[in-house]
Amino acid sequence: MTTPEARVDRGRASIQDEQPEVPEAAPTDAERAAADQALARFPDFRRDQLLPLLHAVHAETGWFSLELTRYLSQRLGVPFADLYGVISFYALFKTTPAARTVLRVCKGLPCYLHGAFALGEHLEALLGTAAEEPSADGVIGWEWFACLGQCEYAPAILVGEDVARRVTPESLEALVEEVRHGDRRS
Amino acid sequence: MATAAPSLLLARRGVADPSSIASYEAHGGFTALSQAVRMGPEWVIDQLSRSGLVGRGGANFPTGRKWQAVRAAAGGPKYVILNADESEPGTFSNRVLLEEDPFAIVEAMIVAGLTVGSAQGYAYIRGEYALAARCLQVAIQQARAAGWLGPDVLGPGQSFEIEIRRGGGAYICGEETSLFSSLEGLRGEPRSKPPFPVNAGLFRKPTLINNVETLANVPPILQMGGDAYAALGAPGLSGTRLFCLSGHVARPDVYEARGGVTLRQLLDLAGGVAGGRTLQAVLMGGAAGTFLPLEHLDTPLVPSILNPLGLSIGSGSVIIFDDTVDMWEVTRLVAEFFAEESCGQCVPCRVGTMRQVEILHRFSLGHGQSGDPELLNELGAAMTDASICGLGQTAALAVMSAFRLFPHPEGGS
Repeated sequence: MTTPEARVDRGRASIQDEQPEVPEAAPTDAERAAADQALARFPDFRRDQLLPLLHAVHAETGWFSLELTRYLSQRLGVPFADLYGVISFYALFKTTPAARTVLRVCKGLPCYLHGAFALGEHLEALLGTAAEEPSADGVIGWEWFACLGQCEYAPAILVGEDVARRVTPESLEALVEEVRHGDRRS
Repeated sequence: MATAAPSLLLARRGVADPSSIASYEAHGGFTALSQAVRMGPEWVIDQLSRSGLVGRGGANFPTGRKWQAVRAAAGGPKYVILNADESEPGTFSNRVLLEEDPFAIVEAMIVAGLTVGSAQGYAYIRGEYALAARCLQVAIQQARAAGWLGPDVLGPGQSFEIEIRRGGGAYICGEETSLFSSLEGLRGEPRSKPPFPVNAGLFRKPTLINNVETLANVPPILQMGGDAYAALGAPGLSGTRLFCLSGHVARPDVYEARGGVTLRQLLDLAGGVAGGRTLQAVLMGGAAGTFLPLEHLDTPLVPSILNPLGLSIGSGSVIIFDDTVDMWEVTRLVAEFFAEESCGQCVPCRVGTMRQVEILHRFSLGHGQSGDPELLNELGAAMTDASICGLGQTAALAVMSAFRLFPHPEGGS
């Protein structure tokens, strides 16, 4: 069992701010390719298409490095701080290296009542990685997430874009194996 | 005041094939739209006004009046927005409607476009609802192929299109002005009202924005007539409402009930407290709601009765807690939720939600200080009064209601 202190610390840790600096370096080739591919889908880019564009890029890269963010800001003509402000606003967009598939453990109240904290701790032990930290091979990671709206199926976990419902310790173990050996994407 | 509701919103659930327009039409689909095209916008607004339908997102604004205001608003283009950013903890009825009856939402949006004079609709769906977005996309494609969406579909010069936009994971974006910011490609931060969306919404143009459940009511209202719909409910809440029961209930699910239903009746529908345990607490309306005093188990759940008691149905979320739960941990989790989800734009909410968490952390660790309850109440009053949007205005309600209802934890005063 987690101590009350640890639970309180977890609450604190999830409410922190980041302070990025504009990087000098170029994005990786893969990041550039993902960005170019997404940009090509919006030839007459309007600002209101930013969220769909970011979704398209994120689906390929899994996260926005500062270098990728800078490249996008230059291509779009949107100031870096403005663009970073939008990206970091949304919980589904990662600004730190993310695993190919992220398991998001719902900590909404109905899931909490159905053992979500124990489930998350079980997942942490299974993977051997802390929340928001990808596995060494970059295949799988996990994090806590706000209510997923799957309350009648509590406890629920978002696996990439799919939902695992009424998760048990056993079904969680099977899920982890499936993700490790499959080709799911976040 | 029977609990067995006529199924208006869930009639096709598990009956019709949600991926087939033919199945939708075989179960009454598109008859409301045909009627709306035949009878015209004034008739639609009249039926909505007679129905007494109010917004189901939690604000209870009369739907007929909203549609009339957008129709009458000067300037254009006008927009119709489906608010499917359902993120209130314990709420999942919008997801069920989108996944299991998506054509009804498409039909209602087309009726809305026709009525208010808009050619462009947006369906803003929370990013975590991938399946709901796919179901709605299938329905939109089939409706387009069948000639219900596209140029001149509602008569010469009367076009309507729907574009799906997926959110990025932000509770605040369910607040209508934040949703506009998000749709416009900005941080999803709310705006001060006025101006109101009916005059200056998306792109500062007249905008009709309705919750999924609100729109789902439109086809049945047009089919049965506004008066008949109103007669289904009770004074103060006409028609039927969806309630999402979750937590410690035997059968967690979304239930449709006539206006005027009581919590005890809803609990019965859901099979009572799971495992036959004792009911300890009920959180109505999700994190933005309040813990309902158990002496109100038999109080009709209608705004005109609840609001004077400082209670509300909100989004229809009903979370049930049995007697094993540490309600102060629950209260702290609610506070942590708001501290994480505050957009940070305005001070009362950004700072207030954090101070709230800190005080509840002290309580959890048994370091509660004398004066903390008073401090929380003072803080809550400032957040409720001074925050820009509904998030900050409601972020203290559950915490303040916990202090009224639950014995203070050890170490607290």
